Amino acid sequence: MKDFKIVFTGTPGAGKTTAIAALSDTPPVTTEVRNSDARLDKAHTTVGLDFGQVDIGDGQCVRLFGTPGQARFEFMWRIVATDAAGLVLLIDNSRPDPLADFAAYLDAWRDLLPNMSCVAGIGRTEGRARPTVDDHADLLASRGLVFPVVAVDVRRRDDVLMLVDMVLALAQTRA
Amino acid sequence: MQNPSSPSRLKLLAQHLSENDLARIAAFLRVGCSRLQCSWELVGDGPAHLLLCGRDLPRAAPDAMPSLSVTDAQPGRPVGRNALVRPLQYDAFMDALCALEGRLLGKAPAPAALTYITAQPLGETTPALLPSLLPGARCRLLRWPPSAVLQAHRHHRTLASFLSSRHLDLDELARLSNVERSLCDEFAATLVSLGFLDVQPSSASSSTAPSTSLPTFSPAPSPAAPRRAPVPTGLITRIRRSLGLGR
Repeated sequence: MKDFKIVFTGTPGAGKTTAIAALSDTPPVTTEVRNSDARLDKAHTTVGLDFGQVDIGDGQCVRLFGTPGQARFEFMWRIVATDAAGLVLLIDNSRPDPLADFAAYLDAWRDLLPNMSCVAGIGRTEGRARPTVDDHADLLASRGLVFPVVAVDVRRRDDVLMLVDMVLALAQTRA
Repeated sequence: MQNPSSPSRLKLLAQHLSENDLARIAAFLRVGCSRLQCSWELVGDGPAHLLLCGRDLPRAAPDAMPSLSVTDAQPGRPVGRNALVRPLQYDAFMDALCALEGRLLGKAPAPAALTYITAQPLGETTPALLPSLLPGARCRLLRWPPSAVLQAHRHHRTLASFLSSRHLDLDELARLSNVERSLCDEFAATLVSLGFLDVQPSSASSSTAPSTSLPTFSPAPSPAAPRRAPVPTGLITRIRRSLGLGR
């Protein structure tokens, strides 16, 4: 039986590396380097991929992959997404235009979304009232897409588990 | 004239509205209660604080009951002030109600409550306004629901996830999600009322009835539907167990 692969993608600083670290049984493999992009308010950024795994017994595991967030590494996204059953799209709501970010990621993943179990997690909503999670859901609806859009704090393991739970629910109905 | 109730409990008088309108309003009030400062009761007659009317409203006297009208959209004709357009939309309704509620609470003394004799009694039918799905009907989300709907119960998010990728009947939904069938019924009825659910008739009647996002009423409780494809209990169940996600 194939392992189950979930990919975490989304804007720089949205918490992809943190989310994977929250679930992984083993210390996650990261490719973080010192950030040289002045537009990003963070000390380190992922330039390759992040990897973690959850052992489910009998030699099988859930493999968790994180893509680099910066658009210049977009070519990596599809490589990382090969054979993925689930996609967690994380949006940092504190960035200047989170809806444009969300739209850009929907465009980038457009042809894969119909066949993947996708969930969107909107992070850092506490300090910023707009756009609301419902605004993000409206954007999704305007594109004729239907998948979960929820507020998350990826520093909380329960929130990351909630995202994975929804990916599994979608995968279960697709099976 | 007496005050119809205390300020924390307000009455919304519905007149000349269709069952569909009333079902939506009942659902809006239920899922949107956290946005409101007061508890709103939908009534069909008697004293009230706000009139919601399915006909054009007469020009109001200065001390008249605040009112909203519900109209059909007409191309080229702008929607009037204090008017909502069919099909009623959750956000528009709640925004209007919140604004009027603020006006009501800010007014002192409380506005005179007028008594209308209902043209369309709600009476005891009000609690049963939410539609139930025909036995075996299969439903799927047309869009991801607003936060207010999802926050109304801790299982709503899970149920919505299951309904977002394909049509499921409510027995399947209950089985896959391990959530009580009655809650699945209630959630689906709310979504139908809000216009967020595409409903397909059961396979037995699918040749005669098209898919619809409008409610299909059932006079009797839904019996158990026949089992469909087996649930993949292997890998996903083990993943859930490993992550401590058992429901």
